[in-house]
Amino acid sequence: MKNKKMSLLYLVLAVFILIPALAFASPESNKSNGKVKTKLPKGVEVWEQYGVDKEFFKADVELDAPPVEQQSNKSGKKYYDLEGFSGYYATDEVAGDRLVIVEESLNISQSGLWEAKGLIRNEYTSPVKAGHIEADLINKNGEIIKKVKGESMVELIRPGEPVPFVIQTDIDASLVANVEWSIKSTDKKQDFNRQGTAMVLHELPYGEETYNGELRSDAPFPYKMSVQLRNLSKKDWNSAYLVVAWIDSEGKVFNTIKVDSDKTYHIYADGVAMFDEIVVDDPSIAPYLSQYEYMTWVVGK
Amino acid sequence: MRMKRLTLSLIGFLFLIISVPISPVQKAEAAKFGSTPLDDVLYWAGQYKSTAGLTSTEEFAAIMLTVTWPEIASASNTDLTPSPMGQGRSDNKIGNGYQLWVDGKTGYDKFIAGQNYYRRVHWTAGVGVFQFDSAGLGKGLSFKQVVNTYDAAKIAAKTMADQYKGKSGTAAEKRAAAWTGWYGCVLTAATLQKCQDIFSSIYQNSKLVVTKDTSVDSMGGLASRTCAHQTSSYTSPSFTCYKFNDSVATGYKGYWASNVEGTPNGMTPLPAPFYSYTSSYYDSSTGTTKYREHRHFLKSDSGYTMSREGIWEMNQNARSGVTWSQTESALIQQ
Repeated sequence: MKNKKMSLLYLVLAVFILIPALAFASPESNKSNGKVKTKLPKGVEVWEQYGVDKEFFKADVELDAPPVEQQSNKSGKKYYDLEGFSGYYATDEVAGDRLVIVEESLNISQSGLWEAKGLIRNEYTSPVKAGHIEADLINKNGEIIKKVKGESMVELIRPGEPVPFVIQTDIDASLVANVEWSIKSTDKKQDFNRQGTAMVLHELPYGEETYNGELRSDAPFPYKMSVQLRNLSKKDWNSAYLVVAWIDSEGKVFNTIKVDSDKTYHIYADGVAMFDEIVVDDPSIAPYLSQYEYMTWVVGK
Repeated sequence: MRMKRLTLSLIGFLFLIISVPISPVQKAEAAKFGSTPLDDVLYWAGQYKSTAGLTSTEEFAAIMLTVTWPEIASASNTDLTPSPMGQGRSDNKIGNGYQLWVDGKTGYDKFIAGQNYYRRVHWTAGVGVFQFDSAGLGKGLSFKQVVNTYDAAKIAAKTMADQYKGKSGTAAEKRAAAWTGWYGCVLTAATLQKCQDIFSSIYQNSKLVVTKDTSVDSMGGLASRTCAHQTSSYTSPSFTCYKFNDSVATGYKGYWASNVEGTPNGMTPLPAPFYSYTSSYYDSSTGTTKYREHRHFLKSDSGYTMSREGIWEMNQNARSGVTWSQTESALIQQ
């Protein structure tokens, strides 16, 4: 009789605890096309970018469903405004157990010294501190001629988030016939906060004497970008950094830059600060930057 | 002796007056700003001054007002009242895309070639007394919000207050930080000095020295109308939309409303009259609300053979984020 009661109790426990628990877990574990659904970082609403109330942005017409044509760039990629990230190549469907190279974003030099610029994406279902990228450069005979490595430019990579990397070498690009990639997550044991957003205030084209009708005084007129940070977290930050990646018309990473927050600002919770101004005067890069789309990452400490 | 002393004193006094440097913006005429627009600025300055760490509403209002003259009126003539419907006309570079021109590159190429292809069906990115622009501050703000000084002053106040608070330094350095989003003030050392001079001229002895121009109200001529959003399968309930028409704009129009057709590599075309409204939808993949601004150029207003519509994805730079279509019935005007 006692055993029977115990069995009944176990049955009740199974019904009321285990089954709901499994049901709760199902969105994470359901697989379709070999992918696992994951939750992207929180999206940033426009009122959060300005730090004002939601009602201010009430539209004249509220549609029940998205318009037929979704927002996308020429190649159909979706643009995301997420905490700490704005750009393309994010996904809420991930492999579940690795970091991956975003093949479409890879830009490998075809001449001169071998160099790779691109994005890796966290396809785990939890954040990783950073990505460590290794590339075996292989010649036409199948021999490894160099092992090279690099780090992701952004720390605390959230599930589904892409982040940029750059690897430079002293190897002649013409000698490289193939590349084998391997990526590992690394733990740098530092506290980072990604609850911020970047707003580009000005982008001054390279070589242009005027900007919207005003004469510039910085001859020979480098490319300049000034970016404002908004700390969306509940805590003041000691510092922050910004990573910008420009992507060309094919969606490949063309250039990347990392700058620190302007030290003359205190980064209050729900406050703003500026990043150090981005200035590029390399004539092989600068003329293109104002023509290409950019992606931004914000990391606070 | 007394006469000689008096004469010497008078000469000294006159010499003193002559030798005091007069800033170019310190003219005999007081600075002018729209009547209710000034009330709007003062209201929001009062709301956000404490965010900035300031105690004076008038001082913060002066900081806010300073940017408006260089942006849309004149940096050297603050007695010209900034126009709430003022349109930026210098946006003739296509680095970030062609989409301000009707049909994108098609419209741009025809404009450069001097052909009249829906030339005044043009999307102006920088608008209003604060010249909010989708390339920076202005991203996500509708046409009505950047024109209506009640709305525009709120965003300007919050933005400047946050910058002023975050920046360390002298009051002048903190003011410069507040103006960071306005290139008319911060592009060069000279533009910054002009703005510091404007501030000094409109904020004297802890008082705001600005005259109200009663001919300019918060909307600056932007008219409220009733519209409905219509697709092939849906017609929305009617709502308030807004009509831009430069011919009824108030405030100083000397620059921005001239040369309406524009000139290649010079001024961009001045938009023909258009109706504007916003729509929104929920994007489940990011969990955020997405906004679009619609500008309808009806053929009955523009005189062109067809009506045209531009739609801006408001989280993007309009230079690459506007798409154009031919519309005859997408908007019901009531």
